[in-house]
Amino acid sequence: MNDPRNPLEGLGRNAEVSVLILSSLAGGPKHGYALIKDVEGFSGIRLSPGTLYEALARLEKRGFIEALDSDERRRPYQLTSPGADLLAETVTSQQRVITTAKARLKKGWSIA
Amino acid sequence: MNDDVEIARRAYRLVGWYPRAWRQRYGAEFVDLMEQEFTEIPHSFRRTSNIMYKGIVARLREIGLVASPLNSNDQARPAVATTFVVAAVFLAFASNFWSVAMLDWNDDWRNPASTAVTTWTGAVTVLTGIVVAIVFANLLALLWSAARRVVKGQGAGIRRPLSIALAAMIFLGFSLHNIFRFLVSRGAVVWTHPGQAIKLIAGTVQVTASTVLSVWMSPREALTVDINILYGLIPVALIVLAISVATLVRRIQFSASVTRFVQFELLILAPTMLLFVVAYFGLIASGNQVLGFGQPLSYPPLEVEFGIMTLMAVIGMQAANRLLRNRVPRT
Repeated sequence: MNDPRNPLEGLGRNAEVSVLILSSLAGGPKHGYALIKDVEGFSGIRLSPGTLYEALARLEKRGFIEALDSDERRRPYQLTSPGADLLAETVTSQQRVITTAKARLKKGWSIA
Repeated sequence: MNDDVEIARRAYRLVGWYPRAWRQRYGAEFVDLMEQEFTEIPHSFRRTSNIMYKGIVARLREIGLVASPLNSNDQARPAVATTFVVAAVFLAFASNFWSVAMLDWNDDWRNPASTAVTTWTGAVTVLTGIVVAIVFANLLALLWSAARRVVKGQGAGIRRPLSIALAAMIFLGFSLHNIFRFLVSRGAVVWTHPGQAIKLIAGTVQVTASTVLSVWMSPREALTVDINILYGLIPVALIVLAISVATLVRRIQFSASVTRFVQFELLILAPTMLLFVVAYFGLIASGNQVLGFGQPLSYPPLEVEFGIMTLMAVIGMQAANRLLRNRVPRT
């Protein structure tokens, strides 16, 4: 049964990787290596090529990203409109978790 | 050797872990990415193992053995592949358990088996029969789909694995026919006494399994008897059949009716395997000594066989659960 509160349902075990990729592509089209470098830059996580392409294939099949035409071997990917919607939903959902966690840490543990 | 050439060679070698269809779509850009990776980080065990693992997963996904949340419209392939593998592995061990239980049942006419032992032995017999029927039905559904494709003139890439599968099946049928004839030559199966007839089949299963093992363990002595050649070739035929079946599963598009059929089979198979596991414990609880754990002469140990069977039952239940969740409504 799909969980309506989880926009990442169906993206498999690497849903977090998908969010990193979508976040990177929100800044403009990128090819594989540029994606790895960008994600590493803003999250500190270096994606392995196998993991990256597994997630790219999954996102492309679901229509959240699309490959751009390219004459070279390196093919850039860009975010689609459904992909932007998914990212927005995910960010909103995660924001709720962060807000709740922060408030509870502040109240119960005097942290944050 | 030129560094660039060496880097390109390494990249192509790693891409080789992925299936052909994947390589056609992503191969060039993946090689490009790998070349840049190698320039920045020349060697990384984590990266290499990650690519090998993902490549194998992609290959398993292609034949449907690993669930993909994307292919909800292509549910037949995972259902056929899962049912085949799970049922075949389960059956290999279940037939051993069943034949031991069956041979042990009412072994001594002066001390007839209790009602509990008879009930559990009957349950194990019926459940084994259901798994056998599912394996055969699944095989027939696959061969039917393949033959239809060939008849319709869409047999490219199918004819060869189909012919090999049929040849392996004919050989297995011929071998089993001969082995059975050889074993029962001293007394035909009397179907008016079903208990005895089933016991004779159980004996045949036990003798076949132990002879196949002995042929492979010490071929020089075993192959002095002609019929042992047939015994020895049975595992080879099974492996050939499994490979051709896997190839067919990958290459065939299943019709809607076959899809519904194999999905139905999977939904029956999963609880059947679980019930078998329960019945096994029932047999031990009702006093069966032969099947109890810790038997020193059993190889492989019963605990290992039982563990594999339980694993297959769990995989089957997971697959059935996934199927029920993603099932596309009939229109």
